[in-house]
Amino acid sequence: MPAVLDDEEIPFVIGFVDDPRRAVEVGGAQYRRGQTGYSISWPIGELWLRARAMTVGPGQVAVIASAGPILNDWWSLLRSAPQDPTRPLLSAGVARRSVDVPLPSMPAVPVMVVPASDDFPQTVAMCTHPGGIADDETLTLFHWASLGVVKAAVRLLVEYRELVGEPPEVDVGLGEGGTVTIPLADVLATAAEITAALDPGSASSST
Amino acid sequence: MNAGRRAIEHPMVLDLSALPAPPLKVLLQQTYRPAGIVQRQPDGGSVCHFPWYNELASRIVPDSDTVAVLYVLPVDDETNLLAACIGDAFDVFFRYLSGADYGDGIAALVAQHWPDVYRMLVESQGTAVRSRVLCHVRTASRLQWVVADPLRGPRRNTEISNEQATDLVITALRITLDALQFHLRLPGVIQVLGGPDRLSRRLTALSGLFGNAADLGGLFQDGLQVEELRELAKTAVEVVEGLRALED
Repeated sequence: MPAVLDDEEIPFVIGFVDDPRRAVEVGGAQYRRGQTGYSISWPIGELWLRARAMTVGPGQVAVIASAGPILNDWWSLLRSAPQDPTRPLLSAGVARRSVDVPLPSMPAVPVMVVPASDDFPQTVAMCTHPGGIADDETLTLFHWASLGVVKAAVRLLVEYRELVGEPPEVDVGLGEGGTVTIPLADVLATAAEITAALDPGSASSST
Repeated sequence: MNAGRRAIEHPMVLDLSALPAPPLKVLLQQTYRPAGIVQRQPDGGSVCHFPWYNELASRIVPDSDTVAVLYVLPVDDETNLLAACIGDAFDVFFRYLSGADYGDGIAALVAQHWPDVYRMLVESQGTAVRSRVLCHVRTASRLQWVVADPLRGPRRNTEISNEQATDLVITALRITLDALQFHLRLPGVIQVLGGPDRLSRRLTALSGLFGNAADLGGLFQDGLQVEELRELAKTAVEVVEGLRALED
């Protein structure tokens, strides 16, 4: 399979348009390869839920899903606020603890929420694993763990919607080039629908 | 004092449009749900912290769901504004007030009969806020009017007295009502605009400009000076209903 992904490419968790680049379908998901990792896209209706597998350190790999930059302004405020059970994933991100995200007929996936930083200005849900990016064990684990991180990233968007109240009236670019946009409010409504479809309220906190 | 339109035609704009900040809520809300990082207050109100501003909600009238909403908006490191949003309620009147056709005449009337409004607009022409102003706040897709007082000190530590908040709410309500009914409330304006027949035609033509009158559906009441606010609110609701009828 040729490498079609950019090395720095971290897709937004919800894909609203088909990715025309070459992919291989494995176990119900689309895989696209890059030089240093690969992406995993799960179909849900006419949408896609997207994660990225990558090396994050020596002997350490991760599968991550991005909730985008919309939470960036909030993290310093969240750090100064008490933990709030109505926003379990954001609270976990502040406390730097993992959240167990359950999957149907599978063990729960331990997911870390990584706040946006100057180095990487997006909030991501991440599951790490010691090993190599192309190890059999990693490939098998990340196939399912990708579902956990995309579920967590989508739920982060739902928690953001609750946090912000009335969403700002801004548009979000879709696909490459940013020529097609969708209102942020619609993105958040879609996230809520996806979360409802994927068994809402199932994330439980662990230390 | 130069009472011409030139002295008031460029109100200050507090620009938040580069930030993912929601638009401000109009002063009085009949259904209100706190968002952001919420601090509940013993009196039933709340302070909601957002990265860009603080939203203060007070339920001052017993047995009512309606709350008064004010904002603390940062201007710079040292200055914030305590602001009451009146949405687009001032738009139509301001177009007359700042327009080339009638602006100087109406501005003179405003300076004479509504000197506090005139002063707020004059004070709003610069960037430094020294006293109460009538100015704009721009968010991603909206330009809203606010009546605002300067506050000194960091945003999180600002202390606001009930008296100041109540006075701001009353002033904002009065300005809203005066602006929406300027043809009835500003002495001499009918003559400046060319007499009752021409004014009537213009107001009819302008009725479409009140398209966002629904935003004012929450205008209502508040306060330590409950009776006065109740009257203002009652009138506000009647005005909004009248505008809706005009649209129909």
